[in-house]
Amino acid sequence: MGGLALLCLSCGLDRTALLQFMIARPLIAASMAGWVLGQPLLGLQVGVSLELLWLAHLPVGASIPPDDTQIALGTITLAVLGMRIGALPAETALFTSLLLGLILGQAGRFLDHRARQWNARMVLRVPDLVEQGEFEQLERLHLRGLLHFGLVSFLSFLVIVLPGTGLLYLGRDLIDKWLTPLSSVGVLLVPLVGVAGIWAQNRSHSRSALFGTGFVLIWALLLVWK
Amino acid sequence: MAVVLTRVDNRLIHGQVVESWVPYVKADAIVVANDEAASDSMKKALMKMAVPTSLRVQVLPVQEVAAVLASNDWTGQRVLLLFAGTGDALQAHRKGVAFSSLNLGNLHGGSGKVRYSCTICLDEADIVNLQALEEDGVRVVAQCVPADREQPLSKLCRCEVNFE
Amino acid sequence: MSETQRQLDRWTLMKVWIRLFFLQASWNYETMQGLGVAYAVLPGLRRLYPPQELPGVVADYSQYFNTHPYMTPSVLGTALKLQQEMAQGVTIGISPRQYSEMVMAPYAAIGDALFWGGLRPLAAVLSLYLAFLGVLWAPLVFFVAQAIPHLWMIGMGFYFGLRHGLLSVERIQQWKLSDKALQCKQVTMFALGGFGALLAVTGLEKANVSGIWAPGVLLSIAPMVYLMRRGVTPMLMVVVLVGAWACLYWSLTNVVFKPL
Repeated sequence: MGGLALLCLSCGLDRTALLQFMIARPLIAASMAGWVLGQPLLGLQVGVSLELLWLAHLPVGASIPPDDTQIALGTITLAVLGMRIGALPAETALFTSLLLGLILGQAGRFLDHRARQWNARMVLRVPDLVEQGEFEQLERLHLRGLLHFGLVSFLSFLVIVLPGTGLLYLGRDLIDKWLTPLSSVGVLLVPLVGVAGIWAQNRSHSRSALFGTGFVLIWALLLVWK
Repeated sequence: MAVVLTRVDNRLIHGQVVESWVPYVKADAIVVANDEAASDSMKKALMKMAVPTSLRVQVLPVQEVAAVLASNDWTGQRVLLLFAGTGDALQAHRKGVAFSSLNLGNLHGGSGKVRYSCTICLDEADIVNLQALEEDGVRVVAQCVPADREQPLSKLCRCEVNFE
Repeated sequence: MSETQRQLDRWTLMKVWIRLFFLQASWNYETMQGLGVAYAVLPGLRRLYPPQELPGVVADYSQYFNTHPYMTPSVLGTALKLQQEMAQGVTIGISPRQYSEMVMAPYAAIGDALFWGGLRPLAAVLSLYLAFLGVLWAPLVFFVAQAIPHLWMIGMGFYFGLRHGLLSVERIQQWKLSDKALQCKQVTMFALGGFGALLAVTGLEKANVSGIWAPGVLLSIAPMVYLMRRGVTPMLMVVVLVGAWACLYWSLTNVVFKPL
């Protein structure tokens, strides 16, 4: 539990506010959470599924992407809870959690936006502080931004995990009945959308040709190997 | 020569422009119409190094853009035209640079400017310029990156944003 | 403080460099990295100026500032070198603030293209191969593959900025980073195609269909690409695709297999 909270915070902060060593990326965040929760392979699978989805999205200036970090952490948490509390098979739990994480995770965008707005309000005090020479206060003000981003990360995580767990538990029989048969292929659909998304961003014909070549090469390799 | 995108952006060449817009409109050249940058060799060099060598970059004073783009040197190019301010855009259009729509990207705050969205702040002069362009038949839309929804000028001006 | 005492020492510069890791703590839509920049350079400015002169100088650094976070150390390294010269009374051609304003946007373009557009996707796709095959240390590969260029840029960038001042721009120009970004993208697309094949073949086999039909999956990606270019978000696309798969599966098992 504590480990999870620590991950939520550190990955959430790494996303924008701190370091940016990319531990916020789903592949890394989900895998670490998987370790903490005792399901490293499942964590890895969550990471693989989600990593591509917003990879091509630039964390540039004004546009707000969904909080893929908290979606990743939330999804693996839900998957593990689905297995433990809902007694769902691993793949079903994974598939359902991916869907729940993606949908509930949309809240993260608005929360992230909020944090930046809180920062904007905070920064209004800067010219006065500078003029008065209150530099220690200035430094503390800057670091307060960490609190904003941290809080928002936590909240985004909870918005995914709390309702998600409720839905998983209450709906466990329905989920098992209807989603289990779909799951084995279903979990692969998420990274497939990710692949499509990256291809969609690319507008160069030569690169599309490269994509096709890579596809054919690996396809041939796999067929030969089997 | 076709102007595939005309954009007003304080920052001129930066991440969004190179990574999002250039591929989206399939531009193979960027023309920056800015008097200040055109007279500064360091600024010109910086802009050139910010893009891949396969992308042609030219930095010109606003007055000269119309003539240059009409020359033979530019036939067949798909040009992304960048202005730093609304005034330059209006001036260039009146000088003969043909564009049917104007994209508003990043227009920063400052004294006298009112915030209309996360990335757009306009003052009275800006609004007058943009309205003049609309009267000349140019469609003015606010759109930071291609993934964003387009916001036409009329809708933008109705929503002032306050952070207080 | 006499003019000769205004010198930045290694310890102070180390403090600045470490503070740069906290650059974006107060990121906001108005000044963006502005306050973070002021926070980072304060130790250096305190060293160069007596308290009564600080407010004027700090004000320059706390205004709007926005560039790629990995490129900021390079910009500030040069800015601090210029600032030191200014503090020592040397006439300089361009002020630190003017320099920063000039390079911010182009460096952002370079950083965005190289790191977010080129290296990160490449590292991700290559690690995904490993991860897909169940290699548990795949995320580590991803982390290291990104950390190395990251650290190099923020370390070397800062150092060159401090050492060479304005000439650091030429250095970066020589590295031709925008072209390297494009090359990364090409390799990424090739690797991505292969990953797509891996997904397709695995998925087909799970559905008890031969892997030979994988190009068919490629065809199904095409409408997705079309929709996503029109603005359909990844989340929505997943929901739609899952819905389509559910309909396909349940109609096939009920219609095709039930009568049998």
